[in-house]
This record gives sequence, structure tokens and C-alpha cells, in this order.
Amino acid sequence: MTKEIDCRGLACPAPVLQTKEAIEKEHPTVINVVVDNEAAKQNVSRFMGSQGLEVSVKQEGSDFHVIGKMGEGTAAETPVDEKAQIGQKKIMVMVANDCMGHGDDELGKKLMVSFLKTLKEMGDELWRLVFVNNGVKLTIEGSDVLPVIKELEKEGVHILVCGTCLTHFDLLAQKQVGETTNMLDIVTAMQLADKVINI
Amino acid sequence: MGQMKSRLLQGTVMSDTNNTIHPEMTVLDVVSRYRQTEAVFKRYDAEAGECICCQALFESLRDVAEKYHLDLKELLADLEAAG
Repeated sequence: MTKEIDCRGLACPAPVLQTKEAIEKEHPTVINVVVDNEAAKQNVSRFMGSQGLEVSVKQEGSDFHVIGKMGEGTAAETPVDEKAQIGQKKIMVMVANDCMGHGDDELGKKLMVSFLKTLKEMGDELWRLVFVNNGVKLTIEGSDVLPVIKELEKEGVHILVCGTCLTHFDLLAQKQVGETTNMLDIVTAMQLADKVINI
Repeated sequence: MGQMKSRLLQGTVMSDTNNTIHPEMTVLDVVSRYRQTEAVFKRYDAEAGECICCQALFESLRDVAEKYHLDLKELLADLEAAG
């Protein structure tokens, strides 16, 4: 069953609440929520993801179609489990600094650029890239690796950026890539990942 | 741990069996259970400097208070009063 909800003209939390209600009451196999603002697009996408739906977004003019697809038997699972089903590992990389290693920060920053550029070699096993503490500075305007991170996101890597950290550094408005996240999401990701790499 | 896992997989931490609003509930938990609390968050938008339900829907009340420098006890009291 496909469910369509027109949430144009509505601000959050209304689009998410309508999505939540539809999923809980009607259990659609596909749900298409039409929104017309960025916050609603992000929040509806994130909510669908938390419910185990495979989420995609299509833009049509100023409208966004947030489409969630429920796989068989994935009611309480995350899209990640698709990878598990086909035998792929889920690797989560947590970046807690804007340079790699200790000793010389200039060298460390070069190494971090090289590291992030090389991450794509993990292929489809690279699942989530999480930026915390000083690492969030890699996701803002002017970051040397911003294009690299955007490319990873485009290729399907889920980018999470610590909201508390962005707020601490007063960088929330400058974030250019990824989804602002909280500790619950990070802990959830750690629990679901097959391997967590801390940098 | 099983309960924790179950909660984590849901993506949000829901309230326990009691009906009170507590600091670890997310904004979404609160507004979805007590729809009338949306007006309370809207009242706090000016103090926060942005739409809390737009920018912090998945944050816990504790994190929201910290992020926007709000008085957590006051926020909880206002939400309780509305809920």
C-alpha cells in the first residue's frame, strides 16, 4: 500500500507527526510525504530512517518528495540491515579531531585530508562517518575536505555531525554537510555497526 | 541492555511507564504524546532564536535546554502544565 501525505505549507513538527501517525496506523509499504521546506525534509527523512524505512528524496521545483519504503520484515530495523542481508560489513568511522594523530598539527591536518580522501576505498562497507568534538570543523564552510565529505554523502555514506559540538564551537549555522545528530544516534550507530574505527 | 537496545532501535527514547514529561524525552516524544505542548515550544522559539520543533525535534529536552540556554526546570514545568 502506498500512502501519500501532502504537508506543503506545514512547519515542523506537523509533517513528522503526520508521517508518524500514518506509519503507526496504516503500516504502508511505501509512504510519500511532500514538504516544501528544508527542515521538514530533513526531519521527515530522519524520522523515516529511525523507523527502518529506506529513505530517498526527490526535488520537484520547491517541493521535496520524501519517500520511505518498508522492506519485508524490517519494521524495527534500520536500512543498514540491507547490507547485512547481502553479507556486507557496516563500518562506522568516528572522527573526533580535525587532524590525525599527535605531535605536529600541520602534519596532522594533511594526514586527515589524505585519510578522508582515501576512505572511499572501503567501498560499500563504509556505512557511517560521524564527526564529533573538533572533528565537526571538517564539515563547515572553508574546510579543505568539505568536497570529499560531500562526495561520500552523495555516494550513500551517512554523515552524522554532533549538534552539541557544533553548538559548543558556535558553528551550527556553518555546517555544510551531513545530518546534525545527538549522542543517542551515535550510540545507536555504534551498536549497529560491525566495526567502529575511531580517529 | 535488551530494553536499551529496543529503545535505541526505535531511534527515540520514549517515556517509561509513567506519564510525566522528563528531561530525556525528545521534543518529538513530547509533542506526539501531548499535542498541546507544541504551543509551549513555540513560545520558547523567541528565546531560543530559532524554531525548536524544526531544528531540535530529535533532541532530548535536556539537550534542548543546554543548546539554547533555557531553564530546564522551567521548560519542564511549562510542558507539564500544558500536557
